Amino acid sequence: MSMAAPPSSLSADPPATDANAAAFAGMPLVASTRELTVRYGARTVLPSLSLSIPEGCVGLLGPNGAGKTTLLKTLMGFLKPTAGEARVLGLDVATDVLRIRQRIGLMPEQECHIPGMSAVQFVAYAGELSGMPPAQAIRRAHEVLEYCGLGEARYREVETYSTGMKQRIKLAQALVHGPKLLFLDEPTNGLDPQGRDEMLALVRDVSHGKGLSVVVSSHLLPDIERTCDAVIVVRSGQVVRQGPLAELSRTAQAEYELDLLAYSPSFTEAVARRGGRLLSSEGSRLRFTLPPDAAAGRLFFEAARETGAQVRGFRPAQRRLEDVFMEAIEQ
Amino acid sequence: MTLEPDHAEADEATAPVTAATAGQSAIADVSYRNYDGEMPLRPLLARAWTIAAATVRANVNRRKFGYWIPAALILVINFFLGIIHYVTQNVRDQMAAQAAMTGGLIGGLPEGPANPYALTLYQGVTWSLFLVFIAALTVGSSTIAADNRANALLVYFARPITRLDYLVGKWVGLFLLLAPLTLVPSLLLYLFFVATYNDVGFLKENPTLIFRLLGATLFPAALHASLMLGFSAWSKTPRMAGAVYAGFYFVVSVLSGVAGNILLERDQEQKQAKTTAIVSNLSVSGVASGVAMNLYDVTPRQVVARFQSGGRRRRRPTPSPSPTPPAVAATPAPSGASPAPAAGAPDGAREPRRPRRRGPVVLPERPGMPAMLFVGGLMIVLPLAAAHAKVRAVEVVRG
Repeated sequence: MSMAAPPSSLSADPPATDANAAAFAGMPLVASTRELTVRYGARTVLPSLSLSIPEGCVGLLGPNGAGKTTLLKTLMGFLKPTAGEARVLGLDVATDVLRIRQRIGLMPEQECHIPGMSAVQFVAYAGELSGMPPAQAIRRAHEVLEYCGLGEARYREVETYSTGMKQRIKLAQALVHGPKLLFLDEPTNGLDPQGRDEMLALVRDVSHGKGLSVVVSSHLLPDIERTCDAVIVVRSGQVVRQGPLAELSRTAQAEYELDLLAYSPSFTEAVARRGGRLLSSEGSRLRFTLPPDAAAGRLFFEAARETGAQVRGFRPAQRRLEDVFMEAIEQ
Repeated sequence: MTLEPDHAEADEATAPVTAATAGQSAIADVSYRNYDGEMPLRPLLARAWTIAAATVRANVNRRKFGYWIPAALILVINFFLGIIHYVTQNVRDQMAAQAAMTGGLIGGLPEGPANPYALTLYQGVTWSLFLVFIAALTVGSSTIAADNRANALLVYFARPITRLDYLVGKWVGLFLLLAPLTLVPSLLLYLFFVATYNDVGFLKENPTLIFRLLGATLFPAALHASLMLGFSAWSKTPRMAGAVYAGFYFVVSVLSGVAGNILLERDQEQKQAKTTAIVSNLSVSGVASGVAMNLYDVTPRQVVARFQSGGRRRRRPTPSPSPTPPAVAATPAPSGASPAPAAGAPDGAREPRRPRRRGPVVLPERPGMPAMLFVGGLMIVLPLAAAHAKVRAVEVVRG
């Protein structure tokens, strides 16, 4: 018997009422909340949060205590909201939590495993718990362990794994049942640079072209920048900025980055005389803002001809995610 | 040539290195593939069974001595009980036959208990209870506590598993590990009785014995499984869970024993015999023993009569026919001096040791089945309720 296919997105659902929802207009959604309120006793962690999470790889950003993990826990059904509504993959969290969990994979922030099991036993058991037949679960466990780079160590007990391997097996157990949506909570926690690179490569790979949407919750902006297509910035339980990364990194003014052969102060002065303003310089890489009506190419090459500077390249400048984040947080 | 999207280059750079990406011919495809196979949302029992089976597998594979040694000892105990039963029954039968043949010249043994088979089975269960407790400590202490320590609850509850599924699964797993410890030896004894019965009517004469056996042997396993689960759920480490349960087991046993003895001493007329019997059995092993006693329909008196052990005995002080002679020495004898001779005793001779009076043995009554079932039910339900309150995917600290 095959499982009835759930609606893969929330496109049919009424959009979240938050003004920022327009950022993902037209994109199919995998999760959304409407005026979601979650309290720990008297403390309100998520006060009337409305957001939409589109398909693809989405970064959930925010300072510590912003409510990122609480949001994930609520979407998983671990916490009961005091008010409001949350839907995941078209299913209501309040009534369909088991079906939701069957279609979701969670890679928690903290170390977690079933004690006394080897990696392959653990991952297969995780698949069985999701409802896979045992034979399928064991076959699939071998597959995802190979994929996560634990093929050689699959018969070792998980307790003996290094931190990096434990991170990988957390990803493997989250993938074993073929989820449609994956929640990754701080996936590079405690990893060395090489391990971090490998983990980000896995996240990037699994979230693109595999029919799987991923939500990465992290406070490490470079991780999000490397893996995600869209971001949602949360502060004090409210969405303060969201949208595709490409749009968010677009600058409002005409800003350009130039690569010179060598730094030339006279070139900077020549650009300034033509109305440009130097924003920053790192070695021979300069960043200028130009008047809105200026023709950038003509302006730079005229300045270069005048000063004898050699321009190796120039392009419209993009804001870094850190700038977007800081701007959103300081709003 | 078309320009690839920006991410395409990044994807290539960050994709896991496989044989294919290294420019070699691939012998295996280790890329991620979606699972589109069968995965129905299963009912509670099926979900719980997955957890129960894993609990059993984990404990059996680990070859825990604390489980297997008690299991072996219980088998040995029941083996010897079977031998004792066989010998006494045969001797009794032969002597009875001789008495009949000789017209009473050679007497038979006094009448035994009403049902020696039930009594032997009862002894088999009660003598095994402490060993079952040891096995429960060994396999049960880590049941939930180890999951707490390893944050395994996040793994469970991120899947279509409810708290009830989890607890039922763990309980059934633990029960399946503990039940054979008492059930298998008792069943073997039962088969031995059937095989060695000197007539063909064993089953006809003891039609309900097999069902009573099932109840008496499975109840201790259920009791230990629930209690161990409750203690394990509230502990962060298996060691802590084991220590707390062991403390509970011994303290409650001692308290009920002491309270029962005090009541027995004070209630010489046995006016409150039922209360005394219940209080004496208000412990883990006491409840299990009380239930078995009721199911097998044996009394402490029968147990003592057959084996001269196994019951609490208190000698009832009988009034002495003559007043006790007053103490001889009105003043304490100086230190080191020998005690003064008793009045009437020959000079220089010690008072002969007075023979100990042997009054009738006072034994507690058999506790009532409803009371035992009530106490046992509480011992099963309350720990499970406590575990249900504790087991969660995330610890919610209410600010």
